[in-house]
Amino acid sequence: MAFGKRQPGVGSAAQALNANTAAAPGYAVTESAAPTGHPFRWLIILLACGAMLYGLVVSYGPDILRDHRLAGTWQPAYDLQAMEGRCERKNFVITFCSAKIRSVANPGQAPITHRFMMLFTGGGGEALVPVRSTIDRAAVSIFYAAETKLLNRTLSFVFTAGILALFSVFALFACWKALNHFDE
Amino acid sequence: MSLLKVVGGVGGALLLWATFQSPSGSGDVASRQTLSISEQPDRIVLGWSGPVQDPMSERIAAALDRYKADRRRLILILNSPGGSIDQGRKVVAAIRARDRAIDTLVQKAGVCASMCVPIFLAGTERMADPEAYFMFHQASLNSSTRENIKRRQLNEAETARLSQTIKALETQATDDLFRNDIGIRGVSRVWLARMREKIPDRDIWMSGQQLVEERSGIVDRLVRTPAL
Repeated sequence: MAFGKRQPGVGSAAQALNANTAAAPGYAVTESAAPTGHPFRWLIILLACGAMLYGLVVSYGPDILRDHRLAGTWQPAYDLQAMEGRCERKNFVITFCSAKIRSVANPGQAPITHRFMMLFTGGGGEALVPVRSTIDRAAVSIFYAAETKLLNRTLSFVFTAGILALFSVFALFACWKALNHFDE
Repeated sequence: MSLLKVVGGVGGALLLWATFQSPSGSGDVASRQTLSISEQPDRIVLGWSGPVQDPMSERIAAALDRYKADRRRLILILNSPGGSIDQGRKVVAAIRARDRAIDTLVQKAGVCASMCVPIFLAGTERMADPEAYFMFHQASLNSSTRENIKRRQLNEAETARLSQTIKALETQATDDLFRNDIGIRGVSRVWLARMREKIPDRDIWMSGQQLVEERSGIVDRLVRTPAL
């Protein structure tokens, strides 16, 4: 059972299940794949993945939806100025960018911080042009994020959210299984 | 078979990577000129966004010619950081040359700065959102001319003389601009003189609401733009 051997820390529950293979071999293969470990461990993983997924959806989801709704309507906002723009690339995979947008027409107004993330692209050296939508004058963004890299941001969001959702489902399933075995 | 898998894997990874890449080009957005045209049952709305640079006058003139025979109301929406004085005057001439009413409008959070103001003033009815922004400042030499001057090897005395000449030219151009391009129909002379005193070496931003409250005569009517 190569699959069983690969399981880290095969515990008593898995061994006990393997003992039933003679009676129902097909069933035993499925059961031997069941995750082991304390249910609490899986619960923590589930909560961590769930929290990250929630954070991702809450922080990036509305911006991406808005940018899709307003795509093609952005025009330069000459009353705004982007400053302190920076992109930080992690392991050549994910890039987190942020820029502050301040009003030159209304200097007393607090600057808005605009954040976005992208996969497999750097973002360095790009011009930060503040833009405003022609159909929603309150919607302000950076052209590079709102238009140039919208596809990348969308794919990055879907990809990351998908992976986190997958981990969450797996952790939920594993937690459930581990809880059942823990009871036994 | 395993080679095929490797090639497939590498190809897949490259495809994934390429999907995440998209062409850049956000740098020229600020200097991009856009003229949008929206035909509505009772009006034709021309939307200009971009600097007052060549070929703005040709594009505006062509759009106005297109609707020469159309009796619907013509509105020119402006969103511009300003630009060339010569080009601005050509746009004003193109608007005035049409024997019809052309209204101008600056939307909420829209900007009409510098040389855009005379173009806005060329409108028959000058409308602005209370939260539209107008900017007034002193005329200045364009950046390429400044760069050309900087590149020349000049001694201290020559640099000082040149700076003085440039300043005198800019002051003269500003006076001329205020007198002939901004100080026109309905604009308060007193307000304009006060503004002229404020602008040396600084930009003055004012909202549509402030311009009306100060009785500048720049804006004829305040309009809430989403209702237009």
